[in-house]
Amino acid sequence: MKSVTRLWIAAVLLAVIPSLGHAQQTRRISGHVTVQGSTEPVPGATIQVVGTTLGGTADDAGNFNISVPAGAQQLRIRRIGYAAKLVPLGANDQTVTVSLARDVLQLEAQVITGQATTVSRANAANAVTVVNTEQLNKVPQQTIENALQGKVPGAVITSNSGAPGGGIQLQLRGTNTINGNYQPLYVVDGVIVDNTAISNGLNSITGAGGGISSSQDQQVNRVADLNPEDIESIEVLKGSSAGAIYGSRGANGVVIITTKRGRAGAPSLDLVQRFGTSQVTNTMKLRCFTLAQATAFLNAGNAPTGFEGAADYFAANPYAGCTDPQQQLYGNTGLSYETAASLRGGSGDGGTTYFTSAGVKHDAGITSTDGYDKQNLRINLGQQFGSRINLRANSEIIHTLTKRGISGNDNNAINPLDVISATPTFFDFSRQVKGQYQPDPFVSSGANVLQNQDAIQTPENVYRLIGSAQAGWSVLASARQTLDLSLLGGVDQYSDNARIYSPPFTYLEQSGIISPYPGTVVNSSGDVVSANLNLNATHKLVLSPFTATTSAGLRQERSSINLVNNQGQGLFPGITNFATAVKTNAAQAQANTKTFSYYAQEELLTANERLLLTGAINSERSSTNGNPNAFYSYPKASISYKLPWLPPETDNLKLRLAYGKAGNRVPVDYKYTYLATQLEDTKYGLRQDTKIGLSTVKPELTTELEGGFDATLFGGRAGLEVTQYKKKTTGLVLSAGLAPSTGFSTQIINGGSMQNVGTEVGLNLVPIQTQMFSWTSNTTFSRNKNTVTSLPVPAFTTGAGFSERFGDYKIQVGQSATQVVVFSGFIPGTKTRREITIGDQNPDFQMGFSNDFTLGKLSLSTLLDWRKGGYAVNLTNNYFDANLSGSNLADTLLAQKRLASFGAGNPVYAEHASFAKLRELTLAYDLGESFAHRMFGNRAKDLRLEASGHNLFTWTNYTGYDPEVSNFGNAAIGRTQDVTPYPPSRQFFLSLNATF
Amino acid sequence: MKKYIAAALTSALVLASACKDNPAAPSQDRVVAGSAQTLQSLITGITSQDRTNYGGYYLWGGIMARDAIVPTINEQRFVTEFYVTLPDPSDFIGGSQWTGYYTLLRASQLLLKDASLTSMSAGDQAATRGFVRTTNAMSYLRLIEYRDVNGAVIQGNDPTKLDPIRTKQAVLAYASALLDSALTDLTAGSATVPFALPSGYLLHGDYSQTANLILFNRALKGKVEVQRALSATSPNAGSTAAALTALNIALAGAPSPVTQAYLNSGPYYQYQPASPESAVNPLPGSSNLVTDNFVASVMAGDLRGAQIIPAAKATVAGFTGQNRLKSTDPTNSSLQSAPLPIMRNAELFLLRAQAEIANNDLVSATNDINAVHTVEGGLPAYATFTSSAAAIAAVLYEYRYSFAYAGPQHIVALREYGLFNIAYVSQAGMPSPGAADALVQSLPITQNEANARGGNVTPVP
Repeated sequence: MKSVTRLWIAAVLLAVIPSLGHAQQTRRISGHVTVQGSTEPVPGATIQVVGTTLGGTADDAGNFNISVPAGAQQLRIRRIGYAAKLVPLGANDQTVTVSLARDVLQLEAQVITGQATTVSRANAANAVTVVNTEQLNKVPQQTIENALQGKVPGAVITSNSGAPGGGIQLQLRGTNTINGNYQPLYVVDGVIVDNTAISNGLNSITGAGGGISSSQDQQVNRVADLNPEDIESIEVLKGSSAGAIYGSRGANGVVIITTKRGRAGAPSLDLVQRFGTSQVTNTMKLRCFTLAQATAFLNAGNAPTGFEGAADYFAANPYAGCTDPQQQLYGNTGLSYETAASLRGGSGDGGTTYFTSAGVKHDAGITSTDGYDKQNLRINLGQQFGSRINLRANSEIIHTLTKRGISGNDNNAINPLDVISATPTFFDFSRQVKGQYQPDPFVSSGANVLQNQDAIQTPENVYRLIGSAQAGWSVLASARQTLDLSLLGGVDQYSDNARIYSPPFTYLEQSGIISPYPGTVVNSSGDVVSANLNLNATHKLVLSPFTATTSAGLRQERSSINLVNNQGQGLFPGITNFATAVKTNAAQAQANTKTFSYYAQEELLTANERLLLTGAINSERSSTNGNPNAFYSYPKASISYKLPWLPPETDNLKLRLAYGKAGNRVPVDYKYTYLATQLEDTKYGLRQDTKIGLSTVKPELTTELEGGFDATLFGGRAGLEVTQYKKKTTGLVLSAGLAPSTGFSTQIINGGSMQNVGTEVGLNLVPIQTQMFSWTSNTTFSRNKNTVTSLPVPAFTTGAGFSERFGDYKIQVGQSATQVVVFSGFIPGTKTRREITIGDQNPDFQMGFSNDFTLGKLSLSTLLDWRKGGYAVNLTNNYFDANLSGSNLADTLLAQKRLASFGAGNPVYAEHASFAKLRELTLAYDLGESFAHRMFGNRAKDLRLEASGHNLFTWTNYTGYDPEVSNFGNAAIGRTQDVTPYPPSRQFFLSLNATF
Repeated sequence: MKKYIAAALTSALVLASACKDNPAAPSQDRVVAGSAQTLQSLITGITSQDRTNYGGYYLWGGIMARDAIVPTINEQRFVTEFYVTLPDPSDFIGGSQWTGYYTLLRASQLLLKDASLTSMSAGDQAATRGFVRTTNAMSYLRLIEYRDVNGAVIQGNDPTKLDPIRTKQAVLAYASALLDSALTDLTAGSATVPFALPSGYLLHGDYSQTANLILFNRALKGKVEVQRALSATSPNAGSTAAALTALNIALAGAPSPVTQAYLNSGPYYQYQPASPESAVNPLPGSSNLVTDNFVASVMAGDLRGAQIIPAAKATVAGFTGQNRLKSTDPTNSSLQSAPLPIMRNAELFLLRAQAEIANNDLVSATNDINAVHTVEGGLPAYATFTSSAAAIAAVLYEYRYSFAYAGPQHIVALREYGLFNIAYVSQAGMPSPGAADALVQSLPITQNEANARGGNVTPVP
């Protein structure tokens, strides 16, 4: 550490000493920035004196006042969402007026290059996707992962199910890992936020796995708590060449979220009121039994226990006609609503700025008892002390309540779709006698799905605080150089309290299928804290041939997770205190991690700002590594060059190449070989664990080379971005299968490698842009091919699956890590297994088509998401095929044929999962200022009416509920197992947006 | 790979790793190597693993023999893996009854090397070794009962070495020798084992006494030798006599007439459903049913028939169950802690009867069959059988009804006699397992085991 301190001192001295010779005379000028073609101001525009570090920011009215060196100068004016502009400033000019054209191609966005540095996207060497607040919130979204669907080339976004409240995972540029974390790192205003998925204990009543909770509990990844409305922009660093700055957490990409901030000027109030509803999108096509068919069915030996035949049965259970129980369960179209307000402003001199927002949201589920509620309050404050010190404090308090019901795998006949698959549709679940639902005689538990729906509660409350404080000190600010120090501390803390309550009176509980003690409750609590402290120093030296930006810093991270599940079985009706139960069980999981890293980075912008060279190294240690004191280094280097000689019709052409290494943190516990504990007769039993840990385990290392070009064409009417990347991950942290006969099942090893090769293309067009009508089109394309290039152990199956009988995932050299293989029986007369490779979990390619049309005050936005290829394992069909011998499906013959084919060893349940979805559709009308005045008085500035929809239509040949859901969302491999999921839904919203 | 395993084993034995970043995990450095506490913990680790292994052991054999059926709408593989297709080596059925036994065997090896053992008196060491080796032999026996001709691995001392898959006869021969070695130890051992056994070992006989452990050891020896003798493919000469010798020792204390209490004697698994142990008797289950033919075939007046009760009818893939045994009733909370036999004397009488039939001693065989038939079935005694076939049919009947939901005794006997095509196995609606296809009569070598061997699972002698 001493040597690090000396380096810091040397760096500061080197920066400060040369400044003494560069003092210059300056003068003050003022200016005004407007939108081109109107008098509308552009608040927040940054003004920079070219070739110097001098500049400032426009206030809420678009005005600025800055110092400039004596003599003629050039000003560069920038604002996200507008094309940058160079403006000459005469030696005697005192004022300047600038108009900025809207930047529909997003060329001017600033993108992250380091922990304390950014660069204009026009110079960026990586293909960083930037999604701004308008793109993010075109349609009301429950979570930010929802909001990113179809907008980020290279991102595969999969949801556990259609249940409200999240449970969505994002994977960037393919699979880098087999057993490690596969999701990107999320950073909000410098705070590393936790994205753990916590089980709510649903397993206690579904019996999907062993224990109180399981990975099949349809967990919600907690990044879902973030409020999309508060986000100014999201930058997606997709690979390790960009993510190297985040060390062992950068290999899977980094999602950097910047929330809205205040700016100088009068208070501006935005109000949004929305009303909407949800509607089930897809259900299984069930058979409608006529009375004659139902009678024949029952008399063919299918009458349930206690009934001799059809006459006996119908005497007790009147024929229900053609009622689809899916509609009874999932036909709810309750009211959803959202009220959001935000206030933004700052003192006239820009000393104090603020942004505060509050929102209340309710999303009704497609069942009468499920839903999602969120309340959030955010305050972002900024305070400038003189010209050298600024303070920022951001904080957000969030409460969410999700009620997701029961979906996914279960072994207790509690998932409504399981019961429906085994109950002929002529049974009426809704029939009540003396106010009581009647037992379903076709399932052994007698479970009535509507009784369960009314009785079983699944509330999950999350209270979360994300806060950060940042102090910036401008140590040095001259015309030629600046030195800034910043200290940022951030905390993300939340408490996740879930309760699963299945009351004792239901047929299900009375049947003993869950336990012999009717009534089950699980009270779960998760306490999660993640904190980081960053210290950065950035020196900028501006000379005529180049601008050099040197930065260095330290980062410390701490995180702790404490999860407790308390289960009670055998309850008095209405009592949910587990401690009063006849039988209690408890489970606890804890994990603590500590990480420390430091970095240094150099950026050189030269050749008339055409050439950007960047080099950096990040060195990090973590408590999860075998040697917690060992530092692992993650270097990166990149170059971008804007060609001076351009082909015809080309405005700009930039070539870029980036190289970098990033890691993937070792999962907690992998370095240990534990003793397994087994209690028997109050005695503590010990034996070797079946997992062999690796005391020298170290992070997986992903090396990426990314290259491409960005072109602007036809006078800014077209933008083309083409990227090719190759990533190689070495030292895979494998939980490799062992021959169980050794007495061990798995061992942790660092070994083996895989590569991902992919292409990403973005094409932005402005085909029509007139005063009255404009059309903007964004098309994205991405594809990724994964190959396991080496393995230190024999091929093995892994991931989250149910067996190769249906479709599982095999790690094998020369094949994709996400290949789906199926066991199709033995070669007759031998013990040789027939194993068929069906395809890949991941798609062949994805495309997104976003089109915005504006006609006067009317605008229409559409987003179409197309995923081609990929295989899902459709166990839902297997349920419907095997129960009632397929008689409950409309196409009974097909069901029976499929089951017979399955019995013969054919892979009938591994299906193509291609689809196209109309993700977003918004029709908006700007009612204008005068209408706003009439409605709300003169303080009103704007009023906008929107009608929007999300996931409106799906085109697919997939025969299950939804081709993009997974029973095991939180596994790198095995994300396409479809087991009786919560059905997908579409949402409709009507919104009124007012600005004051 | 070797270095990883060796390092892990060292750490497991030294027990020296701290785990500050996971307080929920066992803190290994708190265990003192070589202490009496350590020995007790390691013994309990073995007995509790053995209890864990019983899950599945009690069930699969009954389904294979078409006595049990588990038609659950949520997991059709309980039916389809046995009746529609072949067991998948990668799933929870085809992959079961394998790993847990080898976990136990490795844990046993660690115990036998632990300082806590070598620091004891010679008598205590011998008693401990005798108990552990007897338990190990039972694991090999159970492995081969389910894998049959697919074979099993005889676990060596070196976990870094991939030991070959051995033939059924080789594994049974090894188990037989292991039991003899254990007998030597138990004979030389202290009168009482120097550790506390689970309470199930004290319920129907005190098996903390080495004298009784010797009886248990001989019972297992008799079972191993009967299976060696009656192997359909390569019967072992001399095993019939060895079986009779061992079983005669095991049943030497049989009263005359035989009582139900004596038939129930043997070590048992004990269950404690309450937290923190949370170990529940695995039999009760909503879908743990018996087949219609099992119900139809029970003799009139058989007391065991009274154990069959109606259940909600359930059908999966065309196969139906609508009755259950009382012992599987999920609504009976008292069953949660009901003990289950590891091995009880009733089975020994039937095993001895098998050996006697093989010796053509039908008088003795009839007597032994009647010991179960009259006491557990409450039925009139059979007259002396006049043919081996009749005696075998009687043995199969007793296995079927006295050991339903208690293991693979019935399917093993069917296999030994090549009687898969008898009516109640090839009943209507249920395809015959097919005598020619051994895989249906047994579970395959698990996929993980096959993967580690590059797919080569052919057993070697």
